[in-house]
Amino acid sequence: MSNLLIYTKKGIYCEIADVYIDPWKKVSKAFITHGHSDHARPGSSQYICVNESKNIIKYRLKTQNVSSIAYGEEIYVNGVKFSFHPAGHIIGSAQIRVEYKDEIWVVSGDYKTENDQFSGNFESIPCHTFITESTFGLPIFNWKPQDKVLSEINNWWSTNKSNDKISCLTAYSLGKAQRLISGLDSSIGKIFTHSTIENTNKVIRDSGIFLQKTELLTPETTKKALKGSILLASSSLIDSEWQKKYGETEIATASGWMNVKKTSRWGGVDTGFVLSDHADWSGLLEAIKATKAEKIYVTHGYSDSFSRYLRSIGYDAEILETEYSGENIED
Amino acid sequence: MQAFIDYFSSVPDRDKLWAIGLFTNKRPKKIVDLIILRLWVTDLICIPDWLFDESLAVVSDQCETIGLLVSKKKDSDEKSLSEWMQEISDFSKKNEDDIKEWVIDSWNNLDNNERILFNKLITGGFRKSVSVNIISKALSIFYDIEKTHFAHRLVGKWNPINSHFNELLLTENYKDYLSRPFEFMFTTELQTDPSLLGTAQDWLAEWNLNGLRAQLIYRNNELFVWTTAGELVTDYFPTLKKICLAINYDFVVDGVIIGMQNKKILPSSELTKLIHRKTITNKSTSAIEFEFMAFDVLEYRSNDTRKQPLIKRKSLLNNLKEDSFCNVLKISEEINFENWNQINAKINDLETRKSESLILKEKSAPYEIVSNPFWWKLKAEPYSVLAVLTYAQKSPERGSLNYVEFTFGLWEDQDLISFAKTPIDLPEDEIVEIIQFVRKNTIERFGPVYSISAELVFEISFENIHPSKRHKSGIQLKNPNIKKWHKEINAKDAHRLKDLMLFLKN
Ligand SMILES: [Zn+2]
Ligand SMILES: [Zn+2]
Repeated sequence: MSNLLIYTKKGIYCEIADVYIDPWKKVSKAFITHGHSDHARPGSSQYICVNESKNIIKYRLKTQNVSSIAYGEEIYVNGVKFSFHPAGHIIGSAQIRVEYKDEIWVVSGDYKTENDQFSGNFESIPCHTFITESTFGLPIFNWKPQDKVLSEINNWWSTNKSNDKISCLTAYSLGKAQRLISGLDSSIGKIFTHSTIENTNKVIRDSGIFLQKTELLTPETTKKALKGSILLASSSLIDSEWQKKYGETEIATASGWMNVKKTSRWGGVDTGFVLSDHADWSGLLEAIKATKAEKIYVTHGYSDSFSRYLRSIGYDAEILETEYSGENIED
Repeated sequence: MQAFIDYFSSVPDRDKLWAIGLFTNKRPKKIVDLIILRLWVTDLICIPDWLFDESLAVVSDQCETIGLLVSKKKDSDEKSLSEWMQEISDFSKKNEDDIKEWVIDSWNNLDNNERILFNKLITGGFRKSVSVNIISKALSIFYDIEKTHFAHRLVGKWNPINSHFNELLLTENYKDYLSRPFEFMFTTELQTDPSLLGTAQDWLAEWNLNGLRAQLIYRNNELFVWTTAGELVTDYFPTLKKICLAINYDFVVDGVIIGMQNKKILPSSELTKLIHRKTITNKSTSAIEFEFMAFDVLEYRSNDTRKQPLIKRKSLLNNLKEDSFCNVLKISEEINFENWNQINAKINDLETRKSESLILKEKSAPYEIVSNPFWWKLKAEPYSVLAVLTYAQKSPERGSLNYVEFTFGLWEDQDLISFAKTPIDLPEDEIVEIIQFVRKNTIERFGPVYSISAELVFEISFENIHPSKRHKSGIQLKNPNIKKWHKEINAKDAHRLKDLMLFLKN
């Protein structure tokens, strides 16, 4: 087994190509799986990602040094072949395939195996070594199909509307927010967004990606306009002042952590919907099996338990310490 | 409570009965051990034992962990709560293999929350309970029938398997009439000087003693004890039955149940705790002696006496006391006074007063709930001390800059000992000034709590003081409040803890 990719203090590194993947320190050449802040960090000289992610990374890292390629397109750096493939995690998320002299590695970044119709359809890539996340790498995490959860959310919204309440759905500004917006039933009412989310929406729409109509929440937004609407914002916005000004507001959040009573309290909201941008237990196991990889490295999440389980069912698996952080409840 | 009302309107009577039963400790027996359930699930989804433990460490609850490990396989016809409960009771008699097959099949048909609840029900782990009071209130709103009616029905021995909803809760029966209390007459706090009530001679005064307000209803040789919250608590106070032993007629008296431990009166919160305990053990009550301090009689020899003037009712109450030959029944002591100045002096005299408030009652008044009250509560002037602001606590709401609570200290040698926390009730401009001071003079921060250098002096008022082992200061104050900010007083001149101890009686 060669060391096509190695672990260094700055991140996962391909020595032959002098390329880092999702580095957590400043480097010269960084290949980025997706725009979340634990994977795309500022300060590197050059960033390479997929076309769908380009504007997002420029916007979030406040840099112009971003070049991009299409999913599946191949680029060679000093004889090493790199290509990006859909990871299904958020818009513009990719697994990075690295090939050199018949040896193939795949860095999955964050991924989700269910096709949510918005974040790209996860692709299984045969490889020798697979680096997987394990955010929800315990058997207690089993997701319901997305359409079931979305209809729970839309029902919640229309119930609130019929009780003359505003609905507030809290969501991470990149990824979860847009996935929710795509799944909301706009025949119920208007969809408002807080500026942190709307700014990201704009970046995404400017990249030519369709996202249904949303309205920016401003100081001029009236009580009447908000009545029966849904608002995507951070829960800290909804304090007693807000309720006095705009009326009763129900707050909910959508996250994989809502699956467990104890961790569902992290959101600090009344209603939790179980909807994650990461693979669940069986999603992780199926993805790993499909790669036919001989060696599995496990990164952020329940990496201890998950890698131990993989070994117990016959994989050569070990932990790879990274500085990625998993699923946040809020940005 | 709204959840109960919503539930009642959405399900048939049999389900209502089960829901009420489950929340009032009438649960099915456990039919399988948790440890067995755990074996079945690890077997079913093929995970090693240690992985179950790792999952349990994240979830913290066995029934929930087991519930989350299985996913719903099929959408089948939904069973109602009573159908589930019937199945659970049927399977309690079967052998382990049959139970296993049924459990696994049930898991596959349920979604996560239902599966977790199911696991709790079959392992006897369902322990949520709701007071009969709240359920009675919900039923009362739903059916528009008096709350006490339901409270009485729910207290007795019944069981959701063989009870019938209508029989248990709705049909009238003779016993209901017998047990029913009268509506309680309440006191109103007197905000003005008592002299505005009129002539002192038209009023009588009684100490407002610490205890549990209740009506004793004795009809047809049976005693019922009702609280103002509409709870039937007869079984918690068996000693009170002695009062009726020698009396051979029906009566209803109003008064206060007093609990004494080591010759001291227990705070009423202790009595409330006692009646909200799930089981009545002799142990919990044996050290406490109970008596009933009666102050009114509402029915005497089967006659409703509520329309009669108070002084007439008082004399009937004295007759009743004589007939009872029992020292568990006490008659509330009347305070002698000739003019309003004397009554003000008595309530504020620390040496002789028996409680921190007294009740003034109009002698000629009936026992009647009217808009212009006949009973007034007169509170003692609060005590006060000069104390130093030591800590300020911010609101837990994210992003909020408001302070919600101040802590004050009194001197002991060179140290300030915290003794009171208060809400922040001060004029707006003073709050702004204090917040600025806190910002500049924070010594340390513990989460939302800021410790502040000892400079600001406030007058803190309180209604009463009790010794307390749980507090570092050794005392606990009742209703401490900020009375005034004394900018002119130096922190060194604030009171010492031992000054406060002088207020402690005995
Ligand atoms: Zn991510
Ligand atoms: Zn990540």
